[in-house]
Amino acid sequence: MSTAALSVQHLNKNFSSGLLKPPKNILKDVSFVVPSGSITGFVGVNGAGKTTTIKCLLRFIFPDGNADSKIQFFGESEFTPEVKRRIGYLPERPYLPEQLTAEEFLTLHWKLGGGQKSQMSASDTCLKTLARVNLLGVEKKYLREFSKGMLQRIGLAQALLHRPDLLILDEPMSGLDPDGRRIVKDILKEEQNRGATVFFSSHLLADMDELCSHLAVIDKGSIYFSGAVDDFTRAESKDSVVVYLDRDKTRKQIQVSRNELPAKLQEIFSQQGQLLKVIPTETTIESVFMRREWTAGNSAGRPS
Amino acid sequence: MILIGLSTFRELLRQKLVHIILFLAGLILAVSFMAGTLSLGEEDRILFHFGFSAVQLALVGISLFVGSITIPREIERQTCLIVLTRPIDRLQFYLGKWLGVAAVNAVIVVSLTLILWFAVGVKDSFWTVSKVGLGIYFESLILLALAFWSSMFLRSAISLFFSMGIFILGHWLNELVYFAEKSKIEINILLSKVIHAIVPQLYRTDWKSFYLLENNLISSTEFLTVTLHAAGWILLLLVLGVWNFRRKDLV
Ligand SMILES: Nc1ncnc2c1ncn2[C@@H]1O[C@H](COP(=O)(O)OP(=O)(O)OP(=O)(O)O)[C@@H](O)[C@H]1O
Ligand SMILES: [Mg+2]
Repeated sequence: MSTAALSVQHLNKNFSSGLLKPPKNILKDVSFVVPSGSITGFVGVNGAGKTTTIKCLLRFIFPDGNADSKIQFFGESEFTPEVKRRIGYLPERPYLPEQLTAEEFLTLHWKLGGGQKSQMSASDTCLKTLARVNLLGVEKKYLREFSKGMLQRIGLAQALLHRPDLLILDEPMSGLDPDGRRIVKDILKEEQNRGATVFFSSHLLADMDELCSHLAVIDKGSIYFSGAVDDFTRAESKDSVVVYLDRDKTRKQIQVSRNELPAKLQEIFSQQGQLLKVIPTETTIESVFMRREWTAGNSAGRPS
Repeated sequence: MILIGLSTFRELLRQKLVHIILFLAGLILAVSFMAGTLSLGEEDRILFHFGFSAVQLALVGISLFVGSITIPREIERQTCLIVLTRPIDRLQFYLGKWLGVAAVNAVIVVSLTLILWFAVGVKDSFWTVSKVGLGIYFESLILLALAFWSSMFLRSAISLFFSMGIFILGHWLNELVYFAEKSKIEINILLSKVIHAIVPQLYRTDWKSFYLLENNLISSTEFLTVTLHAAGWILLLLVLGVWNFRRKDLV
């Protein structure tokens, strides 16, 4: 647990959108940490910069080279083949080579990752991984005949293939049916239990609540929050709604801050009121999110 | 690298575009067989000319059309991303892709040359015949490397036209120089010489007319020079392409 599986410091990226237009500042001083063994969610609205960040991490996009920016996997700054071997990645839109069958595709990746050197046979591993994502029976099918959800699943299978120490998944649940989402969630938990670290982006905040121990929240290219989920919800949750019947049996609903809550409840009881419910309004990630005004793309609307 | 090459090879053989190009080449080949039987006495020459034109069409077609979309499509569809998260260098990926297409071309040129050799009744030595095939293959490798490289910074369609332009120019070079010298205008001559020097001299790889006119007369020096010339261009274009690819943002 000592070194973080991934730590990012002061990441900047400008995209030049045209020769004459000024470059667009997509990532601004992005820093966050993914602790070893955690499931860390990467949250942000459309266009916030999640995919761009992930692509920078994996050196698909070259971040602007300022001196203090740093990306470290497992405490190492160099992105060596050994580091790569320990990472499994699922891209945002996994279009896969259409002309290959599922089995050929997985076998290729098994070999590319150096699978021949291990004890397990390629076909064994592939079948096992396919079974995990519930795709058995389509090994011989061409990937061009796969549906979007099936592609998503085989993309995930590809990421799991080498039992990586760190999984980086860009929207692993998108395009999946409820059953598929269930499977993905279970897999992520299994992977965590196996000892792997998971870093995934998603819009589906409810899923994050269930899975994540840590969060990195990005908004318009800057990190808004990074740390444990509890801290996020606690920092943001101020009020609870208390619903009760007072002495005259009239229904009342009030907002009480976290600190005042015990005193207020005491007061209600002491006045022979009847407590109906206490709704802790801001305890899920989603509810914290709902309170803010996030704007897609670039415009004002958020304190920086 | 080999793995990527093999996989690309396999994917390509299942691709419609490749099927179409092969079909066209087969059609010309069939026509050349027919034309050969019609023209008495000249059978072999006609057969050869048309036959190798078919080979050339197939190879140039694949090099230009497939070459200019292979990497852009990988980037656009993000299929390259998962490959590159494996312990694979971008250099290996680029060369692997290139080798995959080159292997398809090799299979085509070898099989069609063999067919043509048998068709003329194994008269000439296989080496003589295969020199013509090799010339076409060299040309296709240059064009493939060119299309790969230009697709690094041009859109696929523009890259296709660019490479096509170079293909045509490469075949006109000697005529260009010839006409420039005929015009006797200094600047024209200079210009044509410069162009001659900086464009791959593809006309020199075209040995099918050579064979037609002066049977068996491709000298070994000429063969060697052209081989080296081609190798130089291929190397240069691949190095440039890899250099560009390694610096590219794969968005
Ligand atoms: N090639 C590019 N050139 C210029 N701007 C780009 C490019 N790619 C992305 N952007 C911009 O970068 C910003 C962040 O995009 P990114 O894809 O990282 O967002 P995201 O958080 O992944 O969104 P989503 O939830 O929709 O996947 C967007 O405003 C987008 O317009
Ligand atoms: Mg995204």
